[in-house]
Amino acid sequence: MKRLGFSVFFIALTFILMAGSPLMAQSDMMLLDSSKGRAGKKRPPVPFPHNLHVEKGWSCKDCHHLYEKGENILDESTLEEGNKEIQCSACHGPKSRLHLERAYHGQCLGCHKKPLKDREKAPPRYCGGCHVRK
Amino acid sequence: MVDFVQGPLISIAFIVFILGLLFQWIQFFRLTRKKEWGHPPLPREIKPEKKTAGKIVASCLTSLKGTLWKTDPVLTVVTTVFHVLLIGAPLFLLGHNILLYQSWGWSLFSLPEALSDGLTLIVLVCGAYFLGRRLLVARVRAITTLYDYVVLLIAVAPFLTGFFAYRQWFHYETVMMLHILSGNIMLITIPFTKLGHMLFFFLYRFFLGGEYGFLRGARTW
Repeated sequence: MKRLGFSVFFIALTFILMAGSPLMAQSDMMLLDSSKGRAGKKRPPVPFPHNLHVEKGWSCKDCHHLYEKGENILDESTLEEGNKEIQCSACHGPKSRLHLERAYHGQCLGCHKKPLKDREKAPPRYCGGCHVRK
Repeated sequence: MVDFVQGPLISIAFIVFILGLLFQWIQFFRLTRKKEWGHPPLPREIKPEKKTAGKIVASCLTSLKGTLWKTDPVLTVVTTVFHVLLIGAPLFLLGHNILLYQSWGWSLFSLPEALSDGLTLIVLVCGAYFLGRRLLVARVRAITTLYDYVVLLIAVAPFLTGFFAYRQWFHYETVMMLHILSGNIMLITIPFTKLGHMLFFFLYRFFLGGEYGFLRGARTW
């Protein structure tokens, strides 16, 4: 977990996730590459449809955050490609209690585990729903 | 249905499991409180000799000959491995521990996934061995009823569905649902079926063992 590869990988991963601001055209499908995670404890990379989440009505600050006294004080105009300060790994480093793996799992599962009324197109709920094996 | 199985039913299953075992534990002592007979411990005739470590190991090995090890060593190994992994494999599974952390903020140590996968396969092979014994060995088949097959299925089903789920064979969401459902069914049925030996094994083993061993004929339960 504390290996160098781990941190390098997550920084790279954050780059991929944060590439492009929502103001610009987003590449719809991002690949969250978790395949270089903890030794023996890796799952296939997650294809993440960013646009789909925007289309579903989520605002930027529903996911992107910078908390101060329990309040999300993130300035949306900072959500730009290449801004290292707003990358997930800027706070969720490998040594932080909420390291990137936990941050991602918490952020995604926070919604994906909730019971949904609209059952027609249910989002993935279990591990393999996101970490799809080819 | 899906929301119920993976939501409230899990809590219900754990509550039934824990309260059920507690109930059976209390029942065990309540029903055996009235002693039909009893006498003080028999005096020890032989003074216990001082045992060296080597002698203790030797006497343990000798006493193995009075157990299933002598009559059926294969079954002894299979059943031991099966029972250890039945508890150990799911407890130290990565996916379970990640969910545990998500819910409660703490988790246990988890094994590499390939290892967990292998251990699951071993549980399934052991389960297949038990099934084979019940089907093929005449003296076992003679005392086997449908109930025994159902109990075996209840115990193995979470592992079978878990094995499929990890590989994402068949329809993943359905397999996962069945996995959670079968786990819930196992927890709920443990206190009230033959699976209750999870609790009773320890009661029988140590109370009866004590009665015929250390206490020399006296009943403590």
